[in-house]
Amino acid sequence: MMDDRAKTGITELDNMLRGGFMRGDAVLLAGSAGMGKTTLGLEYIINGITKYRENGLYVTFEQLPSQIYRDSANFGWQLKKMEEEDTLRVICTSPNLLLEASDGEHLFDSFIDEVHPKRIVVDSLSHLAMFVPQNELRKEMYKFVMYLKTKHLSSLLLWESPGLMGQVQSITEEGISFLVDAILILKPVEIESSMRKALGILKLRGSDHDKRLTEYEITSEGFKLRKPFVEYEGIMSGSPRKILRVSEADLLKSGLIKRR
Amino acid sequence: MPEVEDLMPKLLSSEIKAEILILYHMNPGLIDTPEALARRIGRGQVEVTKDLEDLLILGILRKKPLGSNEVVFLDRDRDRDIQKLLKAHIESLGD
Ligand SMILES: Nc1ncnc2c1ncn2[C@@H]1O[C@H](COP(=O)(O)OP(=O)(O)OP(=O)(O)O)[C@@H](O)[C@H]1O
Ligand SMILES: [Mg+2]
Repeated sequence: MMDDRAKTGITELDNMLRGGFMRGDAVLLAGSAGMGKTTLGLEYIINGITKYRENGLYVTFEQLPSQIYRDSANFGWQLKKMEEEDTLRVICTSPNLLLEASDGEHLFDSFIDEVHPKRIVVDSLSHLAMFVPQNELRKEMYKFVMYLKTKHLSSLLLWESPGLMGQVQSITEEGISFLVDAILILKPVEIESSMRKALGILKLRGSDHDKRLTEYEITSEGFKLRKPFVEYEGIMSGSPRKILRVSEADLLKSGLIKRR
Repeated sequence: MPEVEDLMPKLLSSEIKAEILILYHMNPGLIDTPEALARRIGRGQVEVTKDLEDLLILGILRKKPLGSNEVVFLDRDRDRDIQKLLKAHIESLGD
């Protein structure tokens, strides 16, 4: 029987997720610019192919695939070879083409027939959302997520959220957090005037998960998780260490939920 | 499959054609409208549409309707065949 989890292949992250994402779920990966969304997305797809024999689609709007091939090669990931072996497709298109209410064929259909993927990364859903009129955003995003689900794809949808840098900025009026089954955030944390990176799981429908903000780094081998952050003021003042947790404030800042 | 003698002039008859081919070779998963392709290589839509026709006839690129749009994409098998053909032709010239 197939595992009911889609493992990321990053051991510490799978542990935080109590085994991996729930299979077939739509997962939002939110983070500000340069935090490593693309890197984590690629690693999820590559590990799927190389460790679990689950083929993948990587969809990009902003970056040309040639740039993704080049950057991936720096991590030692040979995407072109995987494409030749029909385990991967790196698809580059215009966002509006994915929203076309074409009753018949969806743009992904032919790629799904070619590689029978189990996983998909969309880089990025926020870019796709920019092409939708505000009043149709919920409906269009819902349609898109439902399409991925009918194709039994475990999806990782990247979301660029400037708000996570600290500035409060609502990306959408309604928010789209209700649409997805899980939310991960990547956010910078300033400690003693140095910038460090933290990963947190905001929600994981139907499963327990680690609630602590955990430090990570991007190394030449990809994503590396370190230890959970502890509150530094706590250490300075001699009071007991308090573990930093992801909060509703993070969600609000990211624009994924709206202020009531 | 067209004769290689017909192929060469068709492929090399315009700069734009070469630019489109290079774009698709570097990005084989590119699937987009002719208008978007024109934008991507910074050329006019009319000239791009015209040169696309030749590449579509050769079968290296294919197009299909998608909703109210038409999208153009690379036929990977056909492209591989044509590349082989060209390589053989170039090698035979060296003899
Ligand atoms: N080969 C590498 N070795 C180590 N670190 C790297 C390497 N490649 C990229 N990085 C780090 O990853 C960061 C960018 O990661 P990535 O492109 O995945 O982020 P992103 O969140 O997708 O950014 P964007 O907002 O531009 O889409 C770089 O700023 C750099 O610090
Ligand atoms: Mg990116």
